[in-house]
Amino acid sequence: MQSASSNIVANNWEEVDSKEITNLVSETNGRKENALRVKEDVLLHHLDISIVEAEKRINGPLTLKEYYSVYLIETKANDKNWRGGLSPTGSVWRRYSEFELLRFQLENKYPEVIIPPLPEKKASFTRQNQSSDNIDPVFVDRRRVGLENFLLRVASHPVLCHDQVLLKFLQSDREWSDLDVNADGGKYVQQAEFKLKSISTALRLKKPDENIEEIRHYSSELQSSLGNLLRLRVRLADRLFAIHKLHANYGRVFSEWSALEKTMGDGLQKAGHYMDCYAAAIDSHMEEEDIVADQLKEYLYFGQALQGLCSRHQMAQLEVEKAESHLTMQQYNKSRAVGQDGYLTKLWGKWTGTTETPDDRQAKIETIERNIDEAQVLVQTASTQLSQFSKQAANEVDRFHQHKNANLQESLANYVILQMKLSKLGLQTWKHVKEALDELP
Amino acid sequence: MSTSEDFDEIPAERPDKIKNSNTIEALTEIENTTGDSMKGSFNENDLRDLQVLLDQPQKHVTPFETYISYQVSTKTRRIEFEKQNYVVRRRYSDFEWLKNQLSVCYPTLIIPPLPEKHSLFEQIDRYDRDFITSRMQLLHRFLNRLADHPVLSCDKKYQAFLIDTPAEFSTFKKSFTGFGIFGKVSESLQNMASSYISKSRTVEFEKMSEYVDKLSEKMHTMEKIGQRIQKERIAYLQDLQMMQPILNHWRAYEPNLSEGLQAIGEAANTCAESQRKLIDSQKPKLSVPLHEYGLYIESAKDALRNRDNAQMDYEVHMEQLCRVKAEQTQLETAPLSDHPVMFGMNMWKSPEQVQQQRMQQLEAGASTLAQQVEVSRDKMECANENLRADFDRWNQIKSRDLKNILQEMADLHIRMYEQSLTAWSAALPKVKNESQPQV
Repeated sequence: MQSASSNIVANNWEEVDSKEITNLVSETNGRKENALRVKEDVLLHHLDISIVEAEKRINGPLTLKEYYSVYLIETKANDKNWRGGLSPTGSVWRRYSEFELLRFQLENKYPEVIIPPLPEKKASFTRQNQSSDNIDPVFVDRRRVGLENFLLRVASHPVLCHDQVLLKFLQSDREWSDLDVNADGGKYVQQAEFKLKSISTALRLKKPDENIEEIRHYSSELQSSLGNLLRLRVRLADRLFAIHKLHANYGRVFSEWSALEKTMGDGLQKAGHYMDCYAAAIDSHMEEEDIVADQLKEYLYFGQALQGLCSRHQMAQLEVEKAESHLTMQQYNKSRAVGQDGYLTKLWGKWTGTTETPDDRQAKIETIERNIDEAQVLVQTASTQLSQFSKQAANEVDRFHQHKNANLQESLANYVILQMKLSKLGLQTWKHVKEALDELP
Repeated sequence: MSTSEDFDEIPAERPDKIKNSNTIEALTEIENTTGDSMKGSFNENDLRDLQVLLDQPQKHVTPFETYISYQVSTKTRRIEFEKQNYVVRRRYSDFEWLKNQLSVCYPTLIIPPLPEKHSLFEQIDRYDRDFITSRMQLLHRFLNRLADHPVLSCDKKYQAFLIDTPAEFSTFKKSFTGFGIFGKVSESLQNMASSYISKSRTVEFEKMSEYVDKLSEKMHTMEKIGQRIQKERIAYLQDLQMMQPILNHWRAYEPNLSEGLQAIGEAANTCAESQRKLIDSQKPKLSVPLHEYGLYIESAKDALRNRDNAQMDYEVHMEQLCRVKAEQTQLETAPLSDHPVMFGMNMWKSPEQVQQQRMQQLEAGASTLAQQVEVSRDKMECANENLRADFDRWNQIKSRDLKNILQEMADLHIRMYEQSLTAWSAALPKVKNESQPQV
């Protein structure tokens, strides 16, 4: 009965195998499909965007070479009648710091949007066999894919995709940014200030929004879980890699041994060959697993973006609370000013020589009342802004959960498929070894 | 199906029976070290005319020492045995004695290996269950290999080992004490360098020796590789067991992904289980048999070495004879005065008398040497034949056994991968949420 059930399973995974593996390989297509499922009319519906290659460039004098990578963004309008782009086709080289600048600007312009994350600046969660060097071609290519994903996600976002700076970034060879591209200082200082503010904001709020608190808590759990998972996967990958490579030693021993034997020679030789294949196969498995790990990493950074959104919401809420307390202060001032007919006040006025005339007092009260009106307007504006922010943020979070569920499901499925593939490889290897041994006299 | 009803001797050991055997030991108690008494049974389909079964270890505690004894059951149809079934108890030192005796009496046969007395690397408790089981299996193999051997199975000592009561056996053993291990090496060889041997070996034995050396190397390497892989696998297992807790923690926050994450966690656990099974069976199924074969190959090397010694013996005697013969011919043909022996002590005898004396000496020496040469040549021819035959036999056994070991290794891995594959395949539909509509 064991074999019957495993036959059923075998059929299943064989079907799955050929279909899904090809999908896994062309993962960018998956991303494009996801992006195209968006209902609203977005840039991506009209413009094909892809990052086709990467190049190494040298910065600085020849003695102090500093390599950096640039990425070629190619755009092409797929609809002849569409006039939204700067030109029907585009081809620009951009480096990573330019992407950072673009994202920074989008964050500032659209605070209530979850801006998609960039791939990491420095390699993290690396396996022992992976290079953590930024110039390493494998790293560069994975970054290329990550940057392409970033652009696809931005270009399929109903709000972000219409941004003009984005369009200039994609298609214009000349200046595309309001800010100076090379002024790194200003951007990082602003980011640092933002981070500091957001830490204190949470503490300063009198009545934190429950929903936002929940989202913030969720995003920190997401980051921690994904971090743990990525770390574990690296450990497992390193062990598995070592186990497979050690089998190459068996291959060598079998091959040497087969030279000694007359009757056993052939079988041992074959067995050794299969051991060598087993050892070699782990390399491509790991490359594919790295792709899945990158997909998980993207959501790790999405978690950070989600937390950014919460901080910005809290700052907007802080504005409202500040305006409200300002208003309360003005109202208190008024009540003080109005109720200043008391005996003690008059005495105080005589003694300090600051007696108010009734006219003065009236003027003062009028100023305060004006202040109150202004303050009330402020409160109104801030409250409206906050409620708009909340609404938009809630949509964003919903949207996030939708694509997170779909994408992570796909990534997890790919991970399972990879494990199946590896198990299948192991099974085939040892079955072949057994066959080779069975042939021995 | 156990064939215990065929046994005439009662397997249930009674304390007084053992007490009477050794007058020195005053048995205080017998304990069963293992919960189940580790009973084995003869294979019904086994058609050999001599079968041996080793099982039921027991711990004996005396004021002087504590030791383990094993039950040795013999089933035979051979006529040299009085009965068809025997049951005795033997301890490890008895086995050692037997092996040493056989090694001395049959220097050019390949004696099966015994499990080692103590493994120095691993801190093994001598009474650890796994250690005892493992040792028992190896001792069982030892006795059966002897039973299968055409020459060794007929040896009196082996048969006494199988059938003697403890009292008979200890008296039997005493009659052989003092038989030094060095009896097989003649004195003249002790000064010879070993390089002498390799020059004069025939191609046939040279090849055998080379083969055995290289094979032993390969076995050793394989054992080491196995150990390294085992280490990595154990670390892998520990990490793999962390997957489910991490996923469970994450699941709490992801209602949509919860089922998929759970499925992955379960698959990881199942894989961890199958890895553990593989790890646990590595030692008994792979590294212990390989190690044992390493010892068996050493035994083969010993036999080859003994044969070499026999050859060397013969050649030394030959050389001595030739020297004597050469001196004889020289005396006959060369003039008297040139002979070096003429100088010195025999000044009062005439040169002819001295020469006569010398000739007589040489003649006497020549005849004894000729006899010795004959004897050692016979020995050598015998050794060659024995070794040749036994080596062929051993070669076949070795090929079959090693093939079995490797097949077993392949089977273990196949099982592990089948379980893994099933586990992950089961997880896939749950991860893809096939029952739910796509978002």
